[in-house]
Amino acid sequence: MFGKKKKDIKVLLVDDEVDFVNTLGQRLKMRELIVDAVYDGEQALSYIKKTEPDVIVLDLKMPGLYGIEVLREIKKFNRHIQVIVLTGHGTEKDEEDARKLGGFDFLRKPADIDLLVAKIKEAYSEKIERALTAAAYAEEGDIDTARKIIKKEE
Amino acid sequence: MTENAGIFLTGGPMEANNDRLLCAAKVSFVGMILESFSHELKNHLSVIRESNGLMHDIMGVGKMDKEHVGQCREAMRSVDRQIDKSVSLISFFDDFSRGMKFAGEPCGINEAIDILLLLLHRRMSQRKVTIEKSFSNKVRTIPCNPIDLQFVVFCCIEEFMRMLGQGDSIIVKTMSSEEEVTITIMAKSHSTRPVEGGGIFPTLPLQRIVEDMGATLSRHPGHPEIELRIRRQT
Repeated sequence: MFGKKKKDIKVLLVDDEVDFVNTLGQRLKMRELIVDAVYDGEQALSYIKKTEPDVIVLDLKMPGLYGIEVLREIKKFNRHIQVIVLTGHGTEKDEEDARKLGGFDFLRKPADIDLLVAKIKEAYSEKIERALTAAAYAEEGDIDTARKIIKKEE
Repeated sequence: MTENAGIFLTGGPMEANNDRLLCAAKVSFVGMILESFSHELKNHLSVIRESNGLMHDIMGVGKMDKEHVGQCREAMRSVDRQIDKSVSLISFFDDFSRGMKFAGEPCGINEAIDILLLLLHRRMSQRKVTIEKSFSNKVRTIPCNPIDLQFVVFCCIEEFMRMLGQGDSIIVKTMSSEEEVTITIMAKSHSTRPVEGGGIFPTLPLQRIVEDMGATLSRHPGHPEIELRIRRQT
């Protein structure tokens, strides 16, 4: 129906476990999320140069780049993209690093699907809220504040 | 060939310190194998949980169409695949553990190295380095502690791993003669990175373990190749 457009949350799964990505992807699609997948960090970085997902669900231990490095590069390229780390390996140090780099949350495998979906939605809401607030400041001519909000600075 | 080069330092006056170093390095090696094992297993369980969850989701939809049935079948196949992978991984881990438990029994050289390489698979694939095996079927059991053998081969692989990257490979070869078994570990790199000593335990007195095994360790200067020769009679 017109005027009742559902929010299309675009999620990118980054994990080298193909079976895991395929199954989780199907479950997320059944929950009305738009899902795409890549299988290592380099692929994720190429992907975001072409398409902007709203939320990335990122594994840490993958062939090639370690997940924390991938997160750093994602945030360097586009701070708007929200990143949720989902790993079977993560240490406390990884969690600390991920949060410092602007990761939205840090979950451990196997994670409950409802919890993951709730986190994805929260991350998306935060992204939209920040963009709207920044846009409102920008419209009033306060570009500095708008920039700070987007960069998530105090 | 030059003996005792690179990581293969001899004991000398700091014997007690060397013992501690060796002990710590061995614990670290076993810890790394354990970590790799538990990580793989957790991955398999995660897929099983997601597959199970997907089937619940599909049943929750109500009437199943052809696509749903196909998805359920694939989810079941995925569970089977993960169980197979776990069983095989556990078997290798079991063999590895048995090597530690019965360290005094004759050791199947090929089998011990094969187990090590399988348990190192995740570590290698993370660096996008492949491993090639060339095992002679004439290599039979030999009186040698499998954990010591696996540890020495691991240290050699680690030394090469430092200088390898995507697309490179490590070749592990076994050969047999009347007198000895030879294990050759070689690095094949596409880049021109220099070959240096060092490795994960750069100051490790590995030579002591090698001697206990009745073996010698040598390398080609300037070539990424290490040879471990184990005498058949110790």
